[in-house]
Amino acid sequence: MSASILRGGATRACRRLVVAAAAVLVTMVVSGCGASQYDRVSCTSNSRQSIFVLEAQAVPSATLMPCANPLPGGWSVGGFEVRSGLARFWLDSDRAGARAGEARLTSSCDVTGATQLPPTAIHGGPPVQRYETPAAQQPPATVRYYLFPGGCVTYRLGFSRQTAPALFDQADQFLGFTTRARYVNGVRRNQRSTLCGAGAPPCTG
Amino acid sequence: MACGKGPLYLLPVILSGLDRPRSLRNAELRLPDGGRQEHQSRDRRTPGLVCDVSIGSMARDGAGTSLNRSVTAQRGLVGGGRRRRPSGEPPPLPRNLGVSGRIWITLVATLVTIVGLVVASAALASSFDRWNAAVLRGIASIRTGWLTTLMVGVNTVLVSRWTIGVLRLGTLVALVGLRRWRHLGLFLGSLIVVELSAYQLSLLVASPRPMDVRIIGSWEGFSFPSPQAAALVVTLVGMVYALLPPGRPRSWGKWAAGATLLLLGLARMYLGVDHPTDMWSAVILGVAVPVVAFRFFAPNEVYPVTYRRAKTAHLDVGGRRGQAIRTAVQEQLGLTVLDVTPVGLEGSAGSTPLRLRVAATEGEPERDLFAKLYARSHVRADRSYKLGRTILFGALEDEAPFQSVRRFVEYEDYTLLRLHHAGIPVPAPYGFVEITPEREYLIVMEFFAGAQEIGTAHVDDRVIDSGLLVVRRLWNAGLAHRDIKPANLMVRDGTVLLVDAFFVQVRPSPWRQAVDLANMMLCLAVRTDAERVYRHAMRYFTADEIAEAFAATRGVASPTQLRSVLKQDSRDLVAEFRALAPARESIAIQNWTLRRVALCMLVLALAVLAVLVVVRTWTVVA
Repeated sequence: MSASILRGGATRACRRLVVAAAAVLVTMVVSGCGASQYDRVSCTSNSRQSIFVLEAQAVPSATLMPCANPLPGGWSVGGFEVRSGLARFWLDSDRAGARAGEARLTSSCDVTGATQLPPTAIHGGPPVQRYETPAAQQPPATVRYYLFPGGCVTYRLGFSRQTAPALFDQADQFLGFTTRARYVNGVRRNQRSTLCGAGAPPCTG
Repeated sequence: MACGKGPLYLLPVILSGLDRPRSLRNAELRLPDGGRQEHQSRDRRTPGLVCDVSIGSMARDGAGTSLNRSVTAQRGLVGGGRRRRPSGEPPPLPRNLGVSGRIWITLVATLVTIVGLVVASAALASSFDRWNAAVLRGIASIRTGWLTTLMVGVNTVLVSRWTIGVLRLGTLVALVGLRRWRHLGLFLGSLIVVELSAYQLSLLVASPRPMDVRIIGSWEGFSFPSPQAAALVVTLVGMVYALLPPGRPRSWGKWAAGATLLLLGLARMYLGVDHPTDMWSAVILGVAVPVVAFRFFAPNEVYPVTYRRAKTAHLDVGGRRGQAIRTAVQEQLGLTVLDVTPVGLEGSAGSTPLRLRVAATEGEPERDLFAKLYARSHVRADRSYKLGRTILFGALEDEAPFQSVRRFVEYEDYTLLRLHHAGIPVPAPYGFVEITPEREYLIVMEFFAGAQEIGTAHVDDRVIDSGLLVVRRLWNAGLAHRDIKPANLMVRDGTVLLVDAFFVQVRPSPWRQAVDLANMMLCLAVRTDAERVYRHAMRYFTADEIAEAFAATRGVASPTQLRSVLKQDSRDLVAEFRALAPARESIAIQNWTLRRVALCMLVLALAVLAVLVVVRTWTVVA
């Protein structure tokens, strides 16, 4: 067999390899191998594709992380963004529109001018101080702050109790919290690694 | 002997035995029954004449072939040094991804396999995580103040949106400026494919940032594959392939890109921003996509990146393509090419015209042949040209565009045969050869040695008569040349010779034929005067026919080169001819049809869509 025929065979093999690789990749991406947006931010999620470990890395000081409680019909998780210093996800509503609600985790918040609300407790977590910006300051939005050791969650709704009372009552239930400790322990147990930050031993470097 | 039906239009031509030069007609095929038949060596061009011929009788005419084909050559030789390419053997100029291209494809396939396994198996994912963590712990243990400052600087500069944005926009601007549209499309396509693939993969694998080490510097999103690194890799590799000519500049570019990526990889691992596997996967994606895209869709041989002044229609005929031309002509026409030289490039925009020096054959001395190399780019250019003319003028270009380069070259070969058969002085056709199937073909014909272009030749009464007679013969044969201009009219021994049969139309509209006459008269008058040409024309055409010709010929009806020559002439030759001929109302060029309206709307819609796509993907691009 001549070298040129071998070359032709190799080209055909390459072409098949490309097609096979593309087919596998596309199949994996579109066939549900990827978790839904809700599964990634759900408080009850056990998905390996959830964003919470990444959230814990984005704001390593935060002892709590925001998550989404079960959503009623008409609401969906629109997307998320996690980068160093910030983690957020947003909710879309068929009535209030896209990004009707957004939960944002940072290491701190400026709550100047906000009204303090009664604190709340998270199961297994630290106490959370709550603040709300007066409606007049952000018409027609509602902005709430949840302060806890090492972090702050800003929960912004694109409407207020006055403008959309029914929606507001629904949206008031969406924001949940999960503890950082849960993921620190999970990483230590499963990967024998340290999720650097609050509640974990000091990291190299 | 078993012969089927071939294309009917070629039957009289084939049977007449007049159409090919002697060297192409002298292949004798010995029939199984011992009889002999003069065969025109058209076995591949006319399926109907593929005959059952014993291998033994063919092998006796064997001649040299390329070394790498010597094994099969012993069995596959046919008359006149021709050789049939066996099934499975690549064509003279195969598409070639190169060794590195194949390696990158294999790496992508491996990457996809590993991703699939990691998604399916948590244990495997954990083992990767542990390995990554161990490597990064080792790297982090050597962190020192100055090195950290340096690495932060490197990372900040290299993955900054500004850096990548400037590189990408600079490349886009350069490619637009160089009118290198194919490279531009591939560059943009590679960016979009890599960025979208990296994003989708990162969501699928959902790998967090490195554990165990303190992360220094900013990051965004899941880590596998590193989106920032993938963005830089695809940009640099795309730039190398789109902007740098092959050879030393591209080689240096690759080394520079490689060094940059190595530095970035070290910096990001040192800072604990990315795992080693994040970097590798980003590099695999970012390199493989543009490398395969450019090598497959814009191979150097077909779309060379060059900064020499040249028309984009002209292909480089050196290197692998030059060798492929030699091999193809040897194997498919039985002619040994001694030299390949581009010729008359300035007068050609729709192909790459070449002069082939071929070795002496039985009965014919060493001589020159003319050849035109056609590639898919020429088909696309022809399609765009016809589309543009249809939109601008309606009925001016009323023929359907070609769908493939094979049809393109088959048509020219056919029209050349028709012209030759009709006794019109055109180059004797030698047929065409396949360089790369469905991508590149070379049509070969007689080279008019000693002929001069009409623009520089002495034009006397004999030449005028000869030129007018060419048009008369075209009319009589029911043909129109459609591209009569000085560059396509040669003069030898007082005879006008017609070249470039590509635009020839069989059974054209009367308008087309009239335009041919007017253009020929204008070409002749440029070198003489209108009155003299008109007087000669009256010998072959009626006054009404001449009047019709100049009523039909206005502006765009004449080829660009002829219009340019007329502009340089101080006389208004068209007006002079119109004054000499009987008065006749102008024939409209603009013709509004439903097709033209629909085409205009379609083109407009596509342009709007293209703008919208660019606007929507602007964040990816910039």
